[in-house]
Amino acid sequence: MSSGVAVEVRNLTKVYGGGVVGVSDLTFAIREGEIYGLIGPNGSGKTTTLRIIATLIKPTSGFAKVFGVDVVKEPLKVRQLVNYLPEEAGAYRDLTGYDFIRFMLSLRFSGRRLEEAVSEAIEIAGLGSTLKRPVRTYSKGMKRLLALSTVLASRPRLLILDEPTTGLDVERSIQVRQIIARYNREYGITVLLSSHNMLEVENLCHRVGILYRGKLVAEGSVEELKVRTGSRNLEEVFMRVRG
Amino acid sequence: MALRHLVIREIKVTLKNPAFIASLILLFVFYAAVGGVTRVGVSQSVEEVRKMAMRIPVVVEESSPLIKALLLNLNASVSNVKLYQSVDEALSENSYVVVFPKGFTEGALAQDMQKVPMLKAVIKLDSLSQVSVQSRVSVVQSVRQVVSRLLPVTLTQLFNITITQKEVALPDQNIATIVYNRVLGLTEVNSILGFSVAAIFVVAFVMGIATSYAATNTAMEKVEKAFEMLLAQPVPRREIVLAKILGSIALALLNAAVVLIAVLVMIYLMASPASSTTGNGVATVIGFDVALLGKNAITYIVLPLTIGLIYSGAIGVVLGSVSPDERTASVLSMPITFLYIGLGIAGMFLSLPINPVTAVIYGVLVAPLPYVFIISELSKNPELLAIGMGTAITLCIMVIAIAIIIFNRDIVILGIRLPRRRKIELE
Repeated sequence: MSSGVAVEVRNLTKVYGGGVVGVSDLTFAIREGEIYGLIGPNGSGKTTTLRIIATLIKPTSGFAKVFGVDVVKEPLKVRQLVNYLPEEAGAYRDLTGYDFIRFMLSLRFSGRRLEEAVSEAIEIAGLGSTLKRPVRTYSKGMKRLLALSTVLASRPRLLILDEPTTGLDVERSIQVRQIIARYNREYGITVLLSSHNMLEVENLCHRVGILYRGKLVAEGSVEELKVRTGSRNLEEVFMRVRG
Repeated sequence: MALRHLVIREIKVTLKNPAFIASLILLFVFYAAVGGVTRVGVSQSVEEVRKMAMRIPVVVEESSPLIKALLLNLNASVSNVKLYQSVDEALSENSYVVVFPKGFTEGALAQDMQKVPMLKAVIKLDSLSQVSVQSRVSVVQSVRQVVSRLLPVTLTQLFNITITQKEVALPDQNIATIVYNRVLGLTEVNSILGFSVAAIFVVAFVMGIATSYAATNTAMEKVEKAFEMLLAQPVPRREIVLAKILGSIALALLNAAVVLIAVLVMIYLMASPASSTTGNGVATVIGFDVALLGKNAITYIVLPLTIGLIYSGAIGVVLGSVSPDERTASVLSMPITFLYIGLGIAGMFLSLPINPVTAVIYGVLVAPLPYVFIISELSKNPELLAIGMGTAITLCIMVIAIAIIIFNRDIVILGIRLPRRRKIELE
């Protein structure tokens, strides 16, 4: 794991129309090559944070930088460094799986590099001849794998995954986690993910940040947090730090 | 029991959709606007007819006792017949003139029932609109009816004879119009108006399709959950917007082409061999329009259509980008199509003169630009066209800019959020 800073978030606040607070005064950093998990209940601000870092929405105040590049000032440059898998990400239902992979990767690569990336995505997806069928015929798990394959094959420096295994069966969830871990290990891709699944975070993430009502209430490695709070697992940690 | 709940749910779900309510309001506004425009048009028509009927300007090209007696009777009947030496003199004071041409007396006295007395008329038009043309034509036809009714009475007075009543004729080809200092037959004017309405309708219709495609496709991308992935890619948002506009244009053209071909096939299949003359008639009218308006006639449709497609595609992208789903997008884009067509054609039914102000209005609507093209060509006033086209192009660029701005704002992800009660909530 490299010691450089991949993501720097400082005093980040997002207030939506009508005064709804997405995140409030959020500060954390992710080291290069790290898998960092944001956990918290629904509405705690996980998706808001990921969307800001992925340049999809803008913060009300504070800043976020990806490898030193400000997400508000230079969003296009940031998008070259990251790729984002939204929660329940799908694909164009009338395209075939293959066409979807090719389309998404053609936005980043061309020529030989594109062909290599497409082949890699096909291998990651592992959907075989199903890729020739329209996406509308896919199960939820297949769509998830398809979308994940395109973001992984693009080999971004920072991979942002919003609830990557939500709605997937155990087998598919394990498969997805293994792929994420492999890409982090083999290509040094920094991963920022959000999850409800404490077990998943415990097994996969090097460090976690616990969000509650828009604020970061605890941060550290899973073991550190367990020791600090005297808990047996991450669920207990969460219950204790939220107060 | 369950049926009641099911029905209530069906209705409630739709009524709870703000876009549905918005579409109802838009439709109400649309029909109220159409009613208002029609009312204004009819009021103008009634007023014009009232003014015109106050005096009947007449030019006599043949002096005969019959015509003199007929004019006396006409004056006694409608009280304000004024005789002029020439058509020009009559038109300098009036907006129309009825002409008793050479051969009128011969036609009236002929034993041959096929030979009828003919009148002529010249109408001066300040603007080329259905209302102004129809109101003037109805006045000269009213004069013809009065003359027709007075003819047997006059013949009896003059010659003490009773003849079988002959209708005095005033066919369309005997009615000339003076519009923008050009003399055109009534058939020609009607043909130009028909061409204008058809061109406006085609442009507005295809614009509606483009808006619908752009809006629903953009919104559908959100539903398919691929939208956020797309926006996270290293592609300038303006390229995404332009791609959506160009895509909707291609689809709208394809759709319009299929509809056009299908309609032509339908007309061809419906036509019996005996009615093939109808087809020739249409071809003649089209040929006439091209001859009259020059070879630019096609340009009159193609240029506004091009601008209209980009404009409407951009509007569709804006609608789709702020809509949470394709149902909302289609509910919003449907009334827009009505507005394109309704407002586009409304101008044709008002006696609005084409001037810089109305040229700007037509430029904003885009669909009536073929009409501006034609008026500009007839009046030899390219300024009007420049103003109309300039407005449309400027607005087109502005709508594209708005779409790009929206794509660079949170709203494209979050959709429109209606203000709620002020309270701090967490998300």
